[in-house]
Amino acid sequence: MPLNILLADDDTDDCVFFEEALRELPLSTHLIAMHDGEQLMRQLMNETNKLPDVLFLDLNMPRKNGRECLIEIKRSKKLNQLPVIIFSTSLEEEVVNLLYKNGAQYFIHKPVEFRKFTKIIGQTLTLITGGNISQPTRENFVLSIPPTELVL
Amino acid sequence: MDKNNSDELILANKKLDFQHKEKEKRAAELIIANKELAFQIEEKEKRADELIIANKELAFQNEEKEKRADELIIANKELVFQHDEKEKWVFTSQYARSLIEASLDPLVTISAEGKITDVNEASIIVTGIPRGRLIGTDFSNYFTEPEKAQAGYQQVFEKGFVADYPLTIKHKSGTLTDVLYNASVYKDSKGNVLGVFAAARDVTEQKWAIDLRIANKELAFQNDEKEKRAAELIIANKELLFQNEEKEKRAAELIIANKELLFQNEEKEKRAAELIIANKELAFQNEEKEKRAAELIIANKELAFQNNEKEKRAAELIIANEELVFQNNEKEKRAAELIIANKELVFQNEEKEKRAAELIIANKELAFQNQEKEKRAAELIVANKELAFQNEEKEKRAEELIIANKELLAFTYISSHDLQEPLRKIQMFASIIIEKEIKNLSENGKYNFERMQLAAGRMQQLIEDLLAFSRITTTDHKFEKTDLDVIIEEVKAELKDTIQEKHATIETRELCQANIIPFQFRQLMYNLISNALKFSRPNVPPHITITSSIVKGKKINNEKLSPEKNYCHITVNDNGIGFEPYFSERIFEVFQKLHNKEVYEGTGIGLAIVKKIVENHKGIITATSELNKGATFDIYIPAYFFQFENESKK
Repeated sequence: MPLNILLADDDTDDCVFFEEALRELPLSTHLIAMHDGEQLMRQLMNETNKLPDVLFLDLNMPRKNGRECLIEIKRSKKLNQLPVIIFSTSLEEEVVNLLYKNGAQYFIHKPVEFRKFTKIIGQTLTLITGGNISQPTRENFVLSIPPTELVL
Repeated sequence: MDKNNSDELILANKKLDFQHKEKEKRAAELIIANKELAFQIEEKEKRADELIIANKELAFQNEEKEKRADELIIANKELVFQHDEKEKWVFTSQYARSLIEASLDPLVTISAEGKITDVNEASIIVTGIPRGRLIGTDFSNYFTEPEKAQAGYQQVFEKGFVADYPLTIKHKSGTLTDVLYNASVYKDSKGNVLGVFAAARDVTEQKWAIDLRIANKELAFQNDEKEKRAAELIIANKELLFQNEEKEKRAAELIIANKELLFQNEEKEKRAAELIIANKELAFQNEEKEKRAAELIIANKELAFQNNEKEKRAAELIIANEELVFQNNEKEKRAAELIIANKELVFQNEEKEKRAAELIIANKELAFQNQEKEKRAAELIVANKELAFQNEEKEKRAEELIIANKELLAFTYISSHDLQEPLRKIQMFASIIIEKEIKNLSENGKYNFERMQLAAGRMQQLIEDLLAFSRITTTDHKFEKTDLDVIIEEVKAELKDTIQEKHATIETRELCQANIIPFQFRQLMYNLISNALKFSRPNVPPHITITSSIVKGKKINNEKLSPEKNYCHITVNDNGIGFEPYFSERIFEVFQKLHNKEVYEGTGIGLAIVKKIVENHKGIITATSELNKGATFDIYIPAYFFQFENESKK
């Protein structure tokens, strides 16, 4: 069963990186990419479309930003069981806290190295497919790659 | 003078008394005159009433007299008639009947039952009832005294006759006729009693004549009485007239008496008023006299006392004279001393004048000083105005600065974010190329890419640090009472990867609460701890110790700290590579690094940020170290909780 992944990111390069990363991973996945918040919500709310298994959500998007989408999703009866992974370039304490409160599953600070990038996506997907649908603790909310695990 | 006044007063009082008595006599006389007048008036009214009654009686009597006269005329007429009638009846055929009928006397026959069996004309006339109605009725019906009438005829039946039996016949109309009855029984030829035959003799005329005589006598008497009354009335009226004259005389006298009385009263009141005044004067005179007497007594006592005193004084005088002689001797001694004293005084005066001259000079100097002082005061006012103006300017500048800072922060944030995005891409693409094209790259090429990655990474770090630095200076400062333990734990969480990697240990001892801006202080601790981790000795796991305590300013002996205030002293100590003491201040300057970036990466802003944060908390930071002997950072921030609490609530 391929994993249905929905990605919402306005940056074309970041979308390419994500696709590349998925290709590197040993998991069977199917990716759909959205480029703005409103497009994303239309896709999700559309009855005819199958719900994805996970949503990777960038914060800075035109028309509707990631946080707004997160709130809407978690309010909707249809969508609130969808695990939402915040995938962002910025890492600010207050923002992370707020997103945790709004019900996001995990927060990932976009790494600047491709290897790390791939690894973290892989870890996240493993966690998601592990059947763990409840929100983790705040300490475990931000996912990261420990430096020692990297081999250059 | 007084005696004359009192004599006059006595005389006046006697006169007044006499006046009173006269007044009372007049008043008494007046009362009697008034009573007499009232009585006279009553008598007059009685006489008048009697007169009215007498006149009424007289009028009635006259009426009666005329009635009697009229009756007399009627009686005479009747008499004449009766004579004529009698003469007529003498010549009729029915002699007996005519005789009976002719009889003037009412004749009647009465049965044994007392019923009338026959009557004559006179009977009809006298009763006024026709023959038919008379016959068969009771005889006694027609009399004022029926029982007497009945007794009368019964007596006839018994005795056989009755004579001059008085009765009064009642005419139908009510007229009464006084009669005398002569009655006897009559028999038939055999001698049986058939009834009574009664004849009434009218004695009215006689009665009338008698009555008239009596009436005339009475009338004559009444007339006499009337004349007597009239005479009395005339006398009474004369008397009344006289009384009225007297009354008027009395009234006139009374008016005069009242006027006199009024005048007397006024005089009396004047005398009384004078008397009151005289009495008051007398009372006052008496008081004065008594006061004088009392004073005299006191004066005499005083005089006696004075004499005693005088004798005492005489004795004292003798003693005094002796004393005086002695005093004179003393005085001459003193005079000699005085001459010496005066010489001294002259000298003193000269000195005094010298001092006065000096004082004038001093005053001039003082006046000059005052002028100078006023000039300074005026200058001070000008200076204060200038200062006030400067303060306004400063406040304007401060406001402008706040606005500028806010703009700067926004600008910095946005620009740093936008600057970072290309850097990230550079790094990412570089890393992809290295991974994917590693076979196609030469060693040099790989090296170049790696260097490029590193450069991009440095730039990213630099932008982050610059952003952090600018945030420290531009954001609002909200102080909160915070547990330092909490801050340290948060920082440890952020650095957990590095801590794990380096097998570092962070030890905290007695961390207290402090009044700090939490996010800034977190940044501060992050920078210090990450430095401590970074600058560790190779192969020596970093050991970092953090302590805190409250100390008094004067114990610290730093000129920047006020000795009286309490400070929270926080130390961060590590066992790293340390630095030369020479650099202990330079390390806090921006972009100042002690190593090149090859050995230890870093932007050189970290400690500048730390210092800025400490300054924001109104504290100081010092660094102590020696090469390879670790470093200790001492932070002192004021520990006034209450003031800061109030500030954070604003």
